[in-house]
Formats: sequence, structure tokens, C-alpha cells
Amino acid sequence: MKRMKARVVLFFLGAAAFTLSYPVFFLLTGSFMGQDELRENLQVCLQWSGEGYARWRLLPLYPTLRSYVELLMDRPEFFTMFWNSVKITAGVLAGQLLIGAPAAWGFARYRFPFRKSFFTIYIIFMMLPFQVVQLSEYLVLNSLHLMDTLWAVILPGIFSTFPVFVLYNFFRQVPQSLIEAARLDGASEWKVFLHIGIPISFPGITAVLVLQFVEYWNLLEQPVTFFKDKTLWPLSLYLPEITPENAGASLAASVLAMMPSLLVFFAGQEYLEKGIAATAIKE
Amino acid sequence: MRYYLIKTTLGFFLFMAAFTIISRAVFGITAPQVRTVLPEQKKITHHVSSMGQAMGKQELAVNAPADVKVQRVCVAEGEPIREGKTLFVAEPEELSLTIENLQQELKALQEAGAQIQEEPIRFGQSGKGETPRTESTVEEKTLQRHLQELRDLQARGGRICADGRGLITEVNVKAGDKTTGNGDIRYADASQGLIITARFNEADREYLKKKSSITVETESGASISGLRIRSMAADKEMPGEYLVTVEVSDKKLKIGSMAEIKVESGDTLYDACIPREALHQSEKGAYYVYVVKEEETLIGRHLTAVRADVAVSDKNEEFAALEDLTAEDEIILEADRELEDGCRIRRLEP
Repeated sequence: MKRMKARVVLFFLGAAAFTLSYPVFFLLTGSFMGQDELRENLQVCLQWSGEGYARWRLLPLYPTLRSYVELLMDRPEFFTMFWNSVKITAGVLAGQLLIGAPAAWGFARYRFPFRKSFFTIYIIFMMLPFQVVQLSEYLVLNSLHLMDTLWAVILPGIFSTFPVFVLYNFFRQVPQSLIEAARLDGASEWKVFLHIGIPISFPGITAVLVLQFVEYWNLLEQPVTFFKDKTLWPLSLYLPEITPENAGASLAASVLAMMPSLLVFFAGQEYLEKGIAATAIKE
Repeated sequence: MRYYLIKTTLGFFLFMAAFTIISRAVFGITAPQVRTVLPEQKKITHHVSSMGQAMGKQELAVNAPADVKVQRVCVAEGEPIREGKTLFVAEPEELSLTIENLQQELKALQEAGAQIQEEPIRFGQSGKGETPRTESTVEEKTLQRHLQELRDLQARGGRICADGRGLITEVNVKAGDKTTGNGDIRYADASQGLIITARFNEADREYLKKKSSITVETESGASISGLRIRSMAADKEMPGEYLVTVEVSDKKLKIGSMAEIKVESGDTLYDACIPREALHQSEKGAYYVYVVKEEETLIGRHLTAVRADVAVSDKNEEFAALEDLTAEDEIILEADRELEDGCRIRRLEP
């Protein structure tokens, strides 16, 4: 009876897992399909050409790398957007390491007036969606003449409250005795942070970087709001219109756009789990 | 495993960096290279031409005395002649015989006339109308004149010669036949100037105007310009075609020679003219050009070829005058491969 129950649970979990991962299969198989096969399968939904349903095969009938070749050889704009995404993500992550980590250390290790109030404000800001702050951000960035520059997205990202919140929980777990021992040995506050706080909280820092990488790699609203110059657009804004002619390249682009997120995620998966767990710790 | 993933991530970014360069290079190579031109103010002139033969302005007839037997004809139709050129020669023996016969006839007529003078009552009682003597006198004078002509002809050795220069247009005598005395030989007289008549088709009709500038080019390559159309009329023999006549000085052209009439028309100044190579026509017959537009795209500002439908005001073999174009519109003159609407291009420096 127990075995039967386990099988039923396994079946439903398997079905759910397949459903959730189906878009990835869809992308992978579609990116290896020929143009004719894609047109045949998708013309109903891409051309609104009448009644019927789009069809799909789990495996391409005639697998081909043509979509990848077309994307890699004939679409230089794809690479422009790819490197824009890299610049934005790298800029934000580097800034967060420089600004967010010391801020989190300060909240976690020092006692100063209104500390809790400030931290509460941080948490409130973390909860605010972009739609709420976009006007104020727009006005500030415009007055700083940063509109239509990559800094319009990077600077607000650097001062994001999320990494401070996550690292705060990691830094709080650093034993006080260890910090005091270092101070007794003559270590400055800066050295304590660099040589004790950072190494001990390395998993948390990695988790933050992984989470923030995924967040800023897939950024959508901020670039649309702050970039009028299309040459600054990130990869998340690629392919505004999918037609039967460019469907193959679109699917291949999606696969390549997904790759960095997947690689970074798998490389930091272990630390990511710790980071997510750390966010659940009650102060 | 983690290091392997980190290495793979780094490898992926290196892969993307390499293809960034490759795709840029491919873009540079595959974008059509074009030469461009700006519309300019121009007069669109039209040139139509046709071949014609130089002819005299008037036709003259050369007559020999009637009833003279022709020994040989020395000219043919279309042959240019000078003054004094022998056109045909009369049979000498026949000529002598004819003269002899006429002399006898004249003698008989004169004797008969003398008898009538002696018997006036017998023939002239009524007093009304011509008397037999009067009739005889007229006939006698006619015979005398004819005889004199024959004698003159005999004195010239039986040769009928041209009394001017021109081109033989009609030969109505044959060797062995007798002359009619009614235009035996006709020729176009060159002394009063020449005309060239050429045939033009219906399509050329709109360019043939009285004010059109005409140039005549001779077979030898000489060019006579500044001429005007003398007359133009529909060709009755060939419907849809027009006969255009141009007057030319005889000093510059030989009668009978072929010459090309070149008509140049069009004096309207158009604001936007482009070379014909830049003008394209669709299968449906609509005219269009490719205009260079600078476009802001994901890889920066670059040039694209944008198809623009245009109305053609006028055109000739070299240029076309277009509407809805300004002097700032850069038109693609030629490309090293076929263009499509919206395709990226590279402009070659002139």
C-alpha cells in the first residue's frame, strides 16, 4: 500500500516536473528545428492564419544547427545586447560587493542609534516593486544626467537593499568572540571585516551574487524605462517580434541567453541554498 | 564539479566574445556596398532620330522632242547629276529620218498654203472663224518649231543633257522607245537647297515639335545643327508613322546621300533628377528608388536602403525627373548585390 502511494506521488511529481521544465525542452528542440518545420508547427499562432492549434514534436524531425549559425553569424545585434547584459550585471554585482557588503557588516556588527529603524526602512524598500519607485528614480537619474547610460540601471542596482538584507543574516552569525580576539590582536575594523567577516560569510556572498546575477541578467522594466537608446538594451529585450522567419533564431537566442544563468546557478547552487535559508532567519 | 562549471562559464563567455567579432566581420562583408547620388536640377532632353535621304526642294522635268527614238539611257533613278550630264541619246539615223520626213511634210504644207492664197474665194466665203489658210499657218509653225528642235538635237549629237544639278527621281524612257515629250526624265533640283524626309514612329511623336532642335548627321560624320522641322505629316502609306521634313543647305550635304535626323526636345527644368540606373520598376510597373536612411539600431547607427515609390515626371535614356524627392534625399545609384527594402548597406566613398 505504501509502495503504491509512493508511486502515485512520484507520478504526480514527475508530471509536475515535466510541466515545469517543458518550456526548456520546447526551446531546446525548437532551436534545432529547421525553418520549414517551425513554420509548419507554429504558423497558426505566429501568423494568426485561421483556426487550429500549434503543433510540437519532442524531437526535431530533421535536426539542424542552422538557427544557431544564423544567430551567431548574421545577428551582430544579439551580441551587442549580450554584452550590455554582461556590463549591467557585472557592474551591479561589483557595486553590491563594494557597497552592500560593508553596509550589511555595519548593520550586523555595530550598535548605533536608530539601527533597527534604518534596517526596517531597508526591508520596506526591499519590498517595494519597481513600479512604485520608477518615477522617483527617473527624476533623480534625469537630474543627474544619467538617462540613456548604463549607469541608469547599474547605480540603483548597486544600492539595492536585498544583498544587505541577505548578508546581514550571514554576518550576524560570525562569532563575536572571534571578532574580539582579532581586535585584541590589534586588527583594525577594516581588517576584521576583510579577514574574518568576508571569509566566514563567503557562502552568503556567493549566494547573493548568484541571486542577483539571475535578477539583473533578466532585467526588463528598468532598461525599458531608462534606455531610449536601443544600443544600450540588454539581452532580455531581444526579439520583440517573433515571426515564422526568425522563429528558429529566436529560440536559439533564448537558449544562449539562458546559458549564463544556468551555469552560474549550478556553480553556486550549494551556496544559493544557504543564502535562501539565511533570508528565512528571524532577526 | 564546481570548478568545471566555472571553467565552462568562462569558456562560454570566451565563445561569445569570439562570435561577437566574427558576426561583426560577417556583417561588414555581407552588407551590400552602394554608390549614392543626390538629386539635381536638370533639363530632361529627349533624343529621337531616323534616317532619311537628301532630296532637292523642287522637281524638274527634262523633255526631248516627241517621237524621237531613244538609242540609250545614261542615268538611273536615284543617281545624282550635274549640269550638262547626258541623260539619254537619240538614235541618229532615226533622228535624221524623222527630220527628213518633217521637212517633206513642211514643204507639202507650204505648197498647199500657197495654193490657198491664190484661191481665196473658194475657201474663205463665210468670213467667220478660222480660214483654212490660218489653220495651215499654225500647223506650219508647229512643224517648223518641232523641226528646229530636232535639228538642235541632231546638232548636239542626239544628246539630251541635264540643265541643272540634282538627283534623278524618275526615268520614263527606255532604249528603243520613243520619247513622249511629257517629262521623259524627272530630277530633284539641288540648286534651291535640299530637304531630308525621315520617318518617325508614334512613340517619337511627342518629341517632334516645331521648336525642337534638329541636328543632321551626314554619312561622312559631319554634323549640321540649329535646324528646325519644316513640315510634319502622318504617313498615309504607313499608319502610325510620321514623315518629318527638314531643310538643309545644299553646301553641306550631297543630294541623294543618306543622313540622320536627330531631334532634341525638352526645355523644362526639373528640381529632382537622378540617373536612370537609380530608378527601378516593379513587376506591376510602379517606379521606385532606394533612399539611404540612417537608422538607430541595436548595434548603433547604420545606413539602410529604404524603398520609396516615386512618380516620374519625365525621363530619357540617361536621367529621370522625379516627384516627391528633395535635394537632400540620397539615392542609391548602384549596389554590388541585390537590395531589399530595409537592408543594411555600406556606402562607398565617391
